Amino acid sequence: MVETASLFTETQLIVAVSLAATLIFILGVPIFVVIGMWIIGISLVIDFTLANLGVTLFTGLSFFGLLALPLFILTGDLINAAGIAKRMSDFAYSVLGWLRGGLGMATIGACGLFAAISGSNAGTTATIGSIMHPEMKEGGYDERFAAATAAAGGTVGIIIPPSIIFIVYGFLLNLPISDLFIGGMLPGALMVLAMMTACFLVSYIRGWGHVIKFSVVNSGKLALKAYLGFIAIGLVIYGIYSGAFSPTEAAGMTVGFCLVAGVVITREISLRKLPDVLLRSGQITGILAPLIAVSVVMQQILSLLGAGEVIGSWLTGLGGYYTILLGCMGMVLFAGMVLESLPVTIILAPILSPIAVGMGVDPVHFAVIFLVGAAIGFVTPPFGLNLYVASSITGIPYFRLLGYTIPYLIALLSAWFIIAFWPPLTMFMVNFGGAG
Amino acid sequence: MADTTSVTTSLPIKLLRWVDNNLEKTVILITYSAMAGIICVEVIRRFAFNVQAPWSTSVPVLLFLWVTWIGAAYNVRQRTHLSLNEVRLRLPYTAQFCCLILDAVLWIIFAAIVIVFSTEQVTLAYDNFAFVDGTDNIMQWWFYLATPLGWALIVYRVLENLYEDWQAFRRREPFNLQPSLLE
Repeated sequence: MVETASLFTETQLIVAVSLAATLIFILGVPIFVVIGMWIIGISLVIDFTLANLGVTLFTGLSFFGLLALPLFILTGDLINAAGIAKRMSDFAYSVLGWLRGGLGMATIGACGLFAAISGSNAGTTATIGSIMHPEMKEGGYDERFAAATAAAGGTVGIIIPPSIIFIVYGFLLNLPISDLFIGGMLPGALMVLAMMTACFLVSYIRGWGHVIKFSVVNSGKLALKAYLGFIAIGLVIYGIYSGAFSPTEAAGMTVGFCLVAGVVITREISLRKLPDVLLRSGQITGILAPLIAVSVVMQQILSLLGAGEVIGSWLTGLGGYYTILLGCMGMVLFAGMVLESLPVTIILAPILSPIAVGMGVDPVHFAVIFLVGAAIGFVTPPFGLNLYVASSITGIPYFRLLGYTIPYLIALLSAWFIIAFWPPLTMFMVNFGGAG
Repeated sequence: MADTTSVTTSLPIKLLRWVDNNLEKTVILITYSAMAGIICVEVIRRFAFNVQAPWSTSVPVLLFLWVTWIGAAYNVRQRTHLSLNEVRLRLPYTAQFCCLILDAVLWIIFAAIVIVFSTEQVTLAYDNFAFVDGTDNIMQWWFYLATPLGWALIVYRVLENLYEDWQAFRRREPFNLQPSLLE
């Protein structure tokens, strides 16, 4: 009786700590601190020593594989500074500009190409958005739609390989990162196609955008100008497909290539400019890596609290295969709406993946389903990171962008359902020649 | 005479200002370049010449700790850690200031705990005379020190920001609530 009463009190206290954490999150306290405070609060309630925090801040980050994260952030900044991203965007426009909404579609296509070298959603939105938003605005599009296009296009940054979140997911669940990368290829392409269709339909209905004449010669010339970008993409794909390099080594090779390309070939990266590029990547790493470390501790506590069992029994009580998969997808989508994708992945993936795999979903397929859901969270309120980045680069207030993301959200959700309920889309490339 | 005094007193101040403006940037540049450089060179050596330094997978991991925690301090100073600021932007001015004080208090509580427990880990590595894998003379605690030092720097930057906010509050100037990562 006494035990039941004390257990009840403990549950109440856990709820109180979680509500307090939610309150400070709403008040604008950084997510990193919110998670830290939740950990400290819960450690006062349950038997969890804070010494674990000290240990995990070292061990949670001490994996060679995790180094692909800062390196793939750096490749994105290097190809931008080297002018390669701009050349790839010009090429995408030359190919798609003859269609109504071609410039918007080119923005999404350029996001896809950029994502194939870099591994970050925010980096993709920031880089391609900075290049394409002014052009879309001048090209007869509503500026809010143009910003929403860059934000939505950036979602593929973590699905088309390389991807920093696939790396984290692979480490958490002990899955071959190369297989995850390969599994993300076709779903990423489907997301690009779905968003391009949405862009075409909206532009067609609204009459937005000027149409240019398609020229094979011009497209060929621009493709040649963008050749460095294609070599970098080839390097990444060769590295992860052949198994010749680990993802971290592939990232190191791509960094080396992009640096040489920018300094020696395009000569747009001067030695004076290089520290700024490194510092920018260091700053992004200084935001994401601490989030990984604290999220690992949060996951440890949730595991101690038996969150996996509670969610597992709730989900399995829902019914069969499809219902459980839909339940998992709903949880990922909801978590992605309120949190950044790294904490979402670290906290939820170890709980949901065993449930889905137990139901017969392939672990690589579920990883892709999970991360596409987390990526959709980048353009959903209240916490849509890509929308913040797009707002930041365009100066358009965050809330004014929301309405213009709806067509893209519909497209992304449709693509997500196809990815989830048609496993061959993900598994074909993995089975065809996965390195794992 | 007066000029000489002003020169001698201004030099240390100039130096301190330089350190204040550039400390994190310098550490990030050195550690990030070293980390990326080691991985890039070693993968080329392995691929082309079939040789690789035994420490090439352990030292970059430890350099990453420096990039992470000094980078975290840099983001505190730049106020660029991810947060949901839509509600805060719509709060009255005094409530916004209270939120900034709340931020500072929470950062300091968090930092105090991390510094205590991460220092224990550094001490442990120091007492155990632990070497970095693949080396016989590079101590692990040199790299582990990044965590308590980075967090001490976080506390300093939090206090610096709080002082700026206090000054802005006294002058009734708007707070820097929407900093851009791209600046």
